[in-house]
Amino acid sequence: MSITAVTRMQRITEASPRFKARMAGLSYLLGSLTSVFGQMVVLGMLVVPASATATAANILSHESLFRLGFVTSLMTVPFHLIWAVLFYGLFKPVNRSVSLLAGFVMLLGCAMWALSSLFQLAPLLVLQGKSSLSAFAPEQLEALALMLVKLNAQAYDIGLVFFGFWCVLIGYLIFRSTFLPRIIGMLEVLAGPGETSLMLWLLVKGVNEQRWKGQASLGV
Amino acid sequence: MTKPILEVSPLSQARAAGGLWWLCIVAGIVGFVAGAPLIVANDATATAVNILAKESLFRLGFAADLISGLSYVGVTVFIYYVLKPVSRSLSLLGAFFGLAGVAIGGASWVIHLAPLLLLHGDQYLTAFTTSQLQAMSLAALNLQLQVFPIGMVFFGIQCISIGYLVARSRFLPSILGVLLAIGGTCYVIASFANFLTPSFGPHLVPFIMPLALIGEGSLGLWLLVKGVNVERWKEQASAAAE
Repeated sequence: MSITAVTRMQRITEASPRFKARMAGLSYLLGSLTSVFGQMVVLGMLVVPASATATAANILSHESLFRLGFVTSLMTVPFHLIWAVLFYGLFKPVNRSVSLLAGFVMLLGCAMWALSSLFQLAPLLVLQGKSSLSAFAPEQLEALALMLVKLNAQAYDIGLVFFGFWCVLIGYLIFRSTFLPRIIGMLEVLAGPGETSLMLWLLVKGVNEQRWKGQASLGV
Repeated sequence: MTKPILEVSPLSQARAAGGLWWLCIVAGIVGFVAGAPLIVANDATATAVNILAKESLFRLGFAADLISGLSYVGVTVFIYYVLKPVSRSLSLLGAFFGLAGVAIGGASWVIHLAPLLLLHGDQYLTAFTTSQLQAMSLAALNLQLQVFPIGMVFFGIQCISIGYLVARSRFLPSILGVLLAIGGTCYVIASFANFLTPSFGPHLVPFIMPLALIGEGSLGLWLLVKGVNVERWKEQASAAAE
């Protein structure tokens, strides 16, 4: 074993992969909850898809709820970034370049979600513009506000395309790894149930530490 | 006992980079060919009529752009690994420029979808007249067209750094690096010409885009078909590690 391999082994011993796996599971849970709450629950409560006037009235009368929704959707970005970085480290021993590819894909998905949160905040600027926007009729501003909410949803969906692609890559890495159950990898590729089972597994069991170290030392 | 999973070989990474590069180029061209003819400059009504009449073509253009961007993330990662033995820091710098370029593309994808929201005659938009909605959707498309040259500034710089690394490498033909660096420089020049002199800039495009395509296409093809000289790649990698 070369000197670099020895130092690498020492570094691996210092940071516990099981702890990291659990932290990844936690950020997974928080990222999913904030995403669902900010994009689906809050907007579902306030937005009336067919009526711009009703939507505007809801947003203005529940401004703090609307702002809470925005903040929650924004928080999804850091949680997903933490998750992506931890997974990059976790799966690097399996395949370095595919792990980095997954990390970059998630980074870009997060950039999309950050962009979508700009559109999520914009309706307030349009609806509370007061005299600066008086060149537009109030109904026009209400229509613009609802359109911005819909644009936010589309930006969010584009982010989901990246997220889905990330799931496929991670599923492949789990499948090729020896330290997590293969069945989760297959489910992860199909997303949905795979995500939930992976989150629970990581939170409760972490990873098989001995095998992770074995693979880490082989994969350098 | 599970078999040890070893690092993917530079050859398969080079081939992946080349294949994805071509996917990116083809998808980019499909996106342009599908979308661009629908836009009638300075005529919002004709543009709106075209988009609604050929909505699936318009959506195909959007999907092709998205695929082009996604495959370029793959190009960026795999080329980073292929060129890491030449200079790790410069290779990483190039990759980050590539990522920034794709992130800018994200703005273009969102704006690309705005006309479909505006033009479908949704009940909630009746506060605007049809011609206002058509004007807004053409404005969105014009804004979207500006995203492309902004992204090209970043992709151009990435191509220059990749070109330099290829030229300095011992496992890829130097001429491919020179061609790519020329192509990257063309991207940057065309973009700034477009921002600073909008009347003159577009005239440069027919001369500059072929050069850029030659640079990207030839390196992509070489990586896909020939890959890299694995023996020399390993030599340079172990020399860099010392």
